Amino acid sequence: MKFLNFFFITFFIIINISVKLLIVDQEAKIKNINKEISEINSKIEKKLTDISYSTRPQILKQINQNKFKFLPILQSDLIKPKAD
Amino acid sequence: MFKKDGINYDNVRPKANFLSSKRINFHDKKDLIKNMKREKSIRFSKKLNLFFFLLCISFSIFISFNILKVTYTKETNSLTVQAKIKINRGKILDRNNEIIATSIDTNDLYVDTKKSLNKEKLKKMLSEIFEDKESAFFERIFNKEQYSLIKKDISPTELNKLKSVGDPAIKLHESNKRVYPQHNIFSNLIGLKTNELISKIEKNMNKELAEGKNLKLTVDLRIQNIVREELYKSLIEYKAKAALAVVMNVKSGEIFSMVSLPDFNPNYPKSILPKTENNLNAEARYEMGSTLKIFNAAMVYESQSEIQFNEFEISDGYQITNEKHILDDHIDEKILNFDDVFVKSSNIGSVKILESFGSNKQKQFFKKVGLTENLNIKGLNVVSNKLPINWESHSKFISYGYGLSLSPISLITAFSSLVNGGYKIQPLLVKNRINQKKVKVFSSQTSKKINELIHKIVMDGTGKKAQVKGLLIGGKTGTSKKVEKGNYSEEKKITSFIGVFPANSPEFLTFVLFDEPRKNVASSKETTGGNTAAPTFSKIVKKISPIITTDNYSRN
Repeated sequence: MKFLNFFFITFFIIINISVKLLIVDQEAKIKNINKEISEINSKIEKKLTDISYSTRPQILKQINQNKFKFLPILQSDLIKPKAD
Repeated sequence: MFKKDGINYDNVRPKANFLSSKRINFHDKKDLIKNMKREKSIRFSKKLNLFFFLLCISFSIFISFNILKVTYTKETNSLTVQAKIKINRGKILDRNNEIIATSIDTNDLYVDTKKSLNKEKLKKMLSEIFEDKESAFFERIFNKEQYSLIKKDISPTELNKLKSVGDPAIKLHESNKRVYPQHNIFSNLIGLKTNELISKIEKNMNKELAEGKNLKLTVDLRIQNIVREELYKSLIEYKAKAALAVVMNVKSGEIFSMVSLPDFNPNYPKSILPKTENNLNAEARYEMGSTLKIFNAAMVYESQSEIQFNEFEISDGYQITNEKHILDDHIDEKILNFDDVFVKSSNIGSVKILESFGSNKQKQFFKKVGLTENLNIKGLNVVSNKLPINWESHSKFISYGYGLSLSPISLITAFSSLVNGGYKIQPLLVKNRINQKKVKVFSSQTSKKINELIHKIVMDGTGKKAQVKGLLIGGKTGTSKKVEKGNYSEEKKITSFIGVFPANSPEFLTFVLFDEPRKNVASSKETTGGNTAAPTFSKIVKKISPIITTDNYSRN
């Protein structure tokens, strides 16, 4: 009986320690993954910000003036077909 | 014989293996000794078990506490370690998810001069990289021999150059910087956030943004840019001191654009001047002049008064007080009908209409449209309207737009109710999924008549220059004199135009105002709302209406 008790308690402690170690390990992995995610997010943010900077209306206007020379669509350009 | 604890030792007999055993086990007939020992052993085992049980419980609690650090989050359906997650300030986006403000990771440069391998060389290289810093700055840093800040938020180019220096004295600290990719376009609306300063939406919505939540606004980058561009051109052309414009949905209250000039670049906080800081649409108030006259018409229509069929004599002017006599110099006709009072913007006609109604009804009407109450808009700081202390003595002035200072946004809100079928609206700047409760303050008939009247003003009256080819426009011009040293100035004016489209069933409203314009499109001596704000309105609407109508901006 005593042996069984001792066995169960030891087993429980070993299980607990194993779980703890597993959690610590998983935590470390999660932390690393989170770090990677935040680094990637940071890079994405920078790229998005760069895109926003380079596509802001003033820049697009400049590009249009230098290269394409498109004219804006005005209300008078819209044709509204009428049904007979 | 000898008795103790109920055990009769007379009955004791040795066990069979007594001689070979070191332990002497006594047996009695009733096994009393054996039972006692067993009970003792059981008690001890129980205590031991209890001890180990408590030990296990404590250990389990310890483990559980460690497990608690790892939390299951419903939103991401993933395990996240809460303690170490870095929360960046939320982004501010326009209605199409274009970035207005965002935070990026940067580095701050520090120098620990004690650890430098070659101070002179490092000093020279740093002054080459940071040309904007004076040499005296580096002299001071290197003389101190301390851990000192050189520059916050260094650029990627500067970072690369620093890496090539390779001195252990160079220390980089991770930092975060708020950037505004659209530069000036939204500056007066969203404000800015630095380590020292915070203003406008950045300040008013700080709690949400600091938690990392993105903030979606109702404004549209394309519309905002068009409005700003056209307004800026007009500001230069008219040599005005300031200008403002708003584009709004009159049914849902969504603000598509809100521009106030002059503005600033939030990426360079040190260059911001005090006069450029205010969002004039909400943080300033003006005597609006004739744009307020349209409320007289609404008052008459709503009460179904016979006044709308009257004619008004305007040739002799009108004596308001002993000192104040008004004339309608700009009108050739001597007698005007009801509609013409507004089409030609007659001050005398407006006063005469008010006379037949009385100041109390006027006050009640202004209360009904919300001009006497404070307007609260999420994200905006709105100043309260300046009402006269004695309404009765000011009511005639109010009838043609004086004696009452209004914030442009409150005028727009009240005007929307006149044209949208009679519903009171709440302007929206921050996107909101909750549908507004529709409160009807006017009859649909009143609203319909107002729309016909303001369309007539644009077709035949003072607002002709607001016309847009291919679109029905309705609106009202406004010109008011500014107060200077306690008197109304003859030169300094506020000119404005408030217009809606399509006029037969208005959905969008655009308001344009110029502060002290000195020139106008007609090269006329008089600058008015009709020859300054109305043409600018036309230029803006011409460009924004294809965007608004094709992108279905009329939906709530």
